[in-house]
Amino acid sequence: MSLYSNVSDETVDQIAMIIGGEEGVMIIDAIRNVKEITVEEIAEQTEIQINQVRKILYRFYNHSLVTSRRFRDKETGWFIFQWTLQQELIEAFLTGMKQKILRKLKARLRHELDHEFYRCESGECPRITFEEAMDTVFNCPVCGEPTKPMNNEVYIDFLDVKIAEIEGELEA
Amino acid sequence: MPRKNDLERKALQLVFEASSEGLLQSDMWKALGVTSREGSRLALKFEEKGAVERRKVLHNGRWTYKLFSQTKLVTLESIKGCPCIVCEDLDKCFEGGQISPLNCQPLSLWMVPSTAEEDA
Repeated sequence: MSLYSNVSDETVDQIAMIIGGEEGVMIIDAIRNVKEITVEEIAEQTEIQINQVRKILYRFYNHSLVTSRRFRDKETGWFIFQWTLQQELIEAFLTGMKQKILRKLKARLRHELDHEFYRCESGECPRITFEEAMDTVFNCPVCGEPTKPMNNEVYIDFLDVKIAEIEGELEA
Repeated sequence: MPRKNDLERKALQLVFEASSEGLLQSDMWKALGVTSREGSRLALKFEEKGAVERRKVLHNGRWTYKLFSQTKLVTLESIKGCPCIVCEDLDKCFEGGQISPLNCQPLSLWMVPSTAEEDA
């Protein structure tokens, strides 16, 4: 955990795991305690192939979790990238992600509350809304079998709890 | 000799672990093995940074400060397992769009694992 950060190392590892898998966690671990590090140094420390290290670093970079500084090697003339963990942006990443997910879950909850759903008994065909069922005279648009109303309380219950949980974390 | 950053980290950790009970400033500098002057400077610095709250308390007949951590850990718990985190279409997904949270199968699978096929 960086000195004044509100994100624990464990949470950073969880994010790294989601975005880059086990190799992602190893890469973050290599970057965490140094000011700057090159791809070659990470590959040497973690024994992960250089191209794979680069691939995962760019994935982290897309989420602004790491940043790089570029300079030219005087001998070879090649560009060398020094990578750094942006510890201060990890909290912003988490907050931003929670807000995006919250918006989607709220839209889904409205949809679940505003509609009645129907489905056939095959168990494989998608459910349809009442309006769609009207168009097909309450027959499944995929298999043609008659549809029956279905209970979506299980979705609504999950969404209610999850939305409250995310809002609680965002307000904390 | 410990690095200044290590000392600050250890001090913040001590205050954080004390949670709502708080930690006497004197207990902090004793645990760190530094002088009361250094302990006091650290506490003031943490207060300035907003990492710690210092409350004046009477302890054994002497006025001292109790330190309370202001660190609120941000965690991933509420969105753990949510497919949106790694979804490449996250920013193209909206109500009424071609990719929509209203009929997203991975989202349904996260919500209710046994009923995902309903939205397939």
